Amino acid sequence: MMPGWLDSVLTYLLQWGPHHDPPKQNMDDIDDLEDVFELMFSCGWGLVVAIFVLLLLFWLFLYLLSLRNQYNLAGKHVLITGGSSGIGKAVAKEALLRGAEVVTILARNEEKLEATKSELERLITPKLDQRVNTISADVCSEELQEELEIGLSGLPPVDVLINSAGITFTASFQDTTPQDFEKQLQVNVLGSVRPTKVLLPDMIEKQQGRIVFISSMAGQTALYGYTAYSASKYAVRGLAEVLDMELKVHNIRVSVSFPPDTDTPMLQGELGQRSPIVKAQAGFGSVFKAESVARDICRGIERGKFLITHGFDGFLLGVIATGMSPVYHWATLITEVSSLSSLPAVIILFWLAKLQRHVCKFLG
Amino acid sequence: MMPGWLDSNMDDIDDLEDVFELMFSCGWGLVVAIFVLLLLFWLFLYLLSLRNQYNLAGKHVLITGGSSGIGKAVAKEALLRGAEVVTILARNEEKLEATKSELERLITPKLDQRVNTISADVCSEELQEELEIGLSGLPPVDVLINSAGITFTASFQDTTPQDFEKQLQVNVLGSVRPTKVLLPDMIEKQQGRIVFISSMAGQTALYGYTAYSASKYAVRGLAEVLDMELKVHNIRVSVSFPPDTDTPMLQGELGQRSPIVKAQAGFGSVFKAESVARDICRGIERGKFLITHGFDGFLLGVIATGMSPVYHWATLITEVVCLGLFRLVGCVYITLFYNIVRRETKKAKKQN
Repeated sequence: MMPGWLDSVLTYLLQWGPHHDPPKQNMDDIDDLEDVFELMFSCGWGLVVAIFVLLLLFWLFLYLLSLRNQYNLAGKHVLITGGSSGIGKAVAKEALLRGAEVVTILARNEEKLEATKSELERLITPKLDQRVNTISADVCSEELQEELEIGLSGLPPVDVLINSAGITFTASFQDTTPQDFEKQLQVNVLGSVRPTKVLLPDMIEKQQGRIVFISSMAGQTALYGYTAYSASKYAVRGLAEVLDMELKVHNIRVSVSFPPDTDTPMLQGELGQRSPIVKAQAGFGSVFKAESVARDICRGIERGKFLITHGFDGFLLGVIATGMSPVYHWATLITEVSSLSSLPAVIILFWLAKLQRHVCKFLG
Repeated sequence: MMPGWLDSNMDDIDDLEDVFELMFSCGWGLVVAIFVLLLLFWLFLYLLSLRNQYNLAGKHVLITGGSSGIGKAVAKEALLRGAEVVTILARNEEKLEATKSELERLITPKLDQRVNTISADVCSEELQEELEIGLSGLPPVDVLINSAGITFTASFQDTTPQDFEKQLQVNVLGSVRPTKVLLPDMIEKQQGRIVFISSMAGQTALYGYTAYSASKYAVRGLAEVLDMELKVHNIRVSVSFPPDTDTPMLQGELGQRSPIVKAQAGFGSVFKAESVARDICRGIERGKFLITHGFDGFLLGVIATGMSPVYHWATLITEVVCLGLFRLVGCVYITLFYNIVRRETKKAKKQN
């Protein structure tokens, strides 16, 4: 019934099984490693451990595969809204370091733009023909299309759009006015929609492009004091999911990042608003450096990830809140499914141990 | 070491006794026994979760968008469950009156039930005043159902920023405003229920619903944070995720649907508003946070459960056990939908 080689392998694994020598059941008899193995295999764990190790190696292989670059920022034109500070600025730096040919930063304040541009230009590698561009515009304005067209004239079309322009706000629901709500939705959602709509037709024509949205951990889970902010960041995630579904056929991929508290001017400004409850809540996580978040984002773009998380807490939350997000790497899917079913998996492992005895009898 | 009756040889299976011997000898019998015990335990917890923690009977239920669709069906269901006052809020006075008459026919004579109408716009700045006027003389609102909402479908490129804004205004802010107006009284009474209507499009991506989906994801996020903030006041929040429901709103949307959206919609079925309303009212009474509809809804609810609060042990056990498998099932659906988009987009390209 079974091929000879399988029979041999199983016999080898089970040769210390109960049908040969009586297993050493008494803990006092454990003198050496061989006895430990005997004990392991006689109670069924040997087979289980062997299978587990094989699966782990398989997952590791798939994980290494997922680290391959599917898309290089080198040579591309990257446009970053909100690019004069915070995460946007850090992404601009990272894009330059990764060889982007043109980095365009968009923001409202011209002085900050110029200051950031100087900072970025110092990172330019002399031998690469890199350029830093600034566009002074408001992502919420109706004139955005014109301003982008003027600002981008003479430049190669935008390959990668990073929607990093956003605002934050924290207060209890009762202290949040409908206007506060509206502002969060306007800037965080519509402020990401507008640039995307302007730059999309060119990407579709080229049948190539990358669009990145910045959500937040508050866009994956509830956090006291962030009714308005959270609503807007959940919306960004939903938008990203639908957009990826609509645009994949054009070879345009979407990614969405879920940063934790990140050390940026925006966070500094928010700290003063925080109530004691929010502070206590924030104590559970740590503040990330913008450079670290930016590195994850650029890596995520290059590896073709949809969900980009940061740190271990971010990974945890990413799996829990994965929902119906598209998954583009087998390793990610396996990680999610096995983490999500870890409890049933443990139960199944015990069943496998039981199965060991039955297999013993078959071979016996 | 082992009792004699557990030893067995496969060739000796002659009768049932041998089968049992075999089952137990390889351990399956024990496993099956444990499994059955766990199942019974889960069943017990599930029956516990069906208990009413909160009765709509005797309560004042206010339903925005209550003159049609899901809102109207919830109004009917609330009356049938003995709500003392049902207030429906909408913009159109004629529809309100017509619905009021329809609802009043459902009033049980012996119960002292009343149906109230308030003509107002959930998006207007005057909502607070209009609510105060409309509710004067009535007992404070116990249950708020934010059923006022709109839908819109088009590809992202065919969706203008104004379309986006409208979805966010009505579906999100139009739920925020009534909640803010009625919350202070609920907090004072340390009692209340607030319900939001999201959508399956608020749990998963569906082609053609960038704006609608964004607004419905936002509603879900809002509901989660609100539940966290308000539980201490004994005010519970629920959020419902209806599929396509047979309402005037759906009828109006059908004409907008592109071939891709139609192909996608074919995977689900259209639910009756009464069925959705019944799930919502049951969910409120049983203290559920996530209210889903039908089997697909249950599936999606588990997959997209994320960090939602869970209030019944049976629900948590179901989620933990099923999540891994359901995520795989979800991926199959995602692949199917992406393929539909690719197929139909290529078809459309050829035609042009």
